[in-house]
Amino acid sequence: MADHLDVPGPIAITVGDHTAHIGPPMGDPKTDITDVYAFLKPGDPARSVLVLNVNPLAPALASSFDSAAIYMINVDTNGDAVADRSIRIRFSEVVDGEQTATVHLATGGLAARLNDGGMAIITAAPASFGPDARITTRGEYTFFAGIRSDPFFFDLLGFIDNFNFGHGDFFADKNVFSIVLEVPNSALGDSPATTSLWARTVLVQNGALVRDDRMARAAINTVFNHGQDKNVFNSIDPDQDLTAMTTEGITFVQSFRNTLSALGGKPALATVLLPDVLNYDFSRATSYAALNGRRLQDDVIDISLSLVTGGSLTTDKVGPHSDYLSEFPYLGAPH
Amino acid sequence: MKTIDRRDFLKMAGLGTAAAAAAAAAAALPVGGFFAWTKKDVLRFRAVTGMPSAPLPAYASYVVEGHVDLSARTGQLAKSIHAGAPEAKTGIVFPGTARSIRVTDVVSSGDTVLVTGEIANQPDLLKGESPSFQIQIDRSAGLARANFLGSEVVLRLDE
Repeated sequence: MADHLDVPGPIAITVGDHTAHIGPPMGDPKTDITDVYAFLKPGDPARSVLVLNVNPLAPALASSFDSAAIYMINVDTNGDAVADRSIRIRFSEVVDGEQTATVHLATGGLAARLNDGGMAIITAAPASFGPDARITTRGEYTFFAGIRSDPFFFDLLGFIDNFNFGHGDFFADKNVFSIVLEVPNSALGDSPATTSLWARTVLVQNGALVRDDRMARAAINTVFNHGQDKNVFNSIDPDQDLTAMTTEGITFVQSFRNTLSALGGKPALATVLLPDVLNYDFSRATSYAALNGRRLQDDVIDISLSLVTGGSLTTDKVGPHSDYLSEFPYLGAPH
Repeated sequence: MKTIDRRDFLKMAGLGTAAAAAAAAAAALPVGGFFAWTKKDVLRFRAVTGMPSAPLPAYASYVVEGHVDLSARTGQLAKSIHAGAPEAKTGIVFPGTARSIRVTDVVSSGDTVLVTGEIANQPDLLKGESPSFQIQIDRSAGLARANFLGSEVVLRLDE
């Protein structure tokens, strides 16, 4: 689970007379970020593909995007872990089973602040809740939002079984809700060597904007943060990662060091993993192994296992799915 | 806040018929504490542990729950893997992990109860999962021991 079901927020689940509340205090699966991808468009390195996936096990837990949420892909162009550009996606309410999306691009100080402003680059784009991908193109931007095959691959049960891998790819037949944007690289700024990005979901609650979930590299919050610290981590921005404190009164950096030591990894890796951003130098080839972006087929789990265990574990024995598409929206049709 | 009705919950959890029976068995448990005598010689319980083990954060919970009749040496259990750490009490069952267990024997000795059973939906077994099941409940310690995909794990009894 890159971040699947590491959900920010309680959902009331009622079975008979019993009601259970899942998750940390705010969100629901609609804003539960599962994965973030950024890669050069195949065959056209002047353009990039950005993917923000939410809603694990879709559509079982939720069947629409959250019209009260802002889905963000934040871009830092100068290496200070503060957003210099921010792509904000909002969805209409569901009407007759349909939703439409509006995409704004904020730059400068507007991007760094929590808001939904910016220049509209996509409007009235229909979401896809069936097998066919409804694609919207406006100028230099191409957009998709809807249900797709979950591109993530991982032996989840093997992980739960204390790294006893061999149960197979839990996600082989699962879906997610995906937001896919194809943009000119210029939309990401002009400093590729210091560019990074992360996804963020924001909820509108009582008229105020509240940080919900966030994610960049795979499985960071899932593997390193315990209990309420997952919520704390979600509530801060990457520029706070190096100084923010956990509920145990130590910094997240120290907490990461402790976990890395316990797993056999190098404690110094903590300040590579934090701030939690996805470095993306769009002037070079995309490769998660080279800490540069993430393609759908990148085996982020094998790469991460090797790093965090100091090489004592190198694979979960599953590989990429076979349903990725060679063209937009790149994610396979839903199961 | 979202409320999902039971039918949706079962659909959401991706449960099959036997697993649905297991969930229904759990749902039939009386309210008011997970570990209790519902009547003379009938014990109901819920045992849970986080997975994977420390130092990693618990990403999921292994849950065994149900009721046994110590006199009749019968009962009905359910086991499943839930999303989230034990304290989250999520109720979201990972698809393909819910099992209904028919109790075949119950042996009680002092504060210890040994429950033996058989998994109803055996064609769906996971790697390392046995078609038979045992859980040893230590009421004084508030703990239970059961098999998890081939390894023994210690579960905490929910009060």
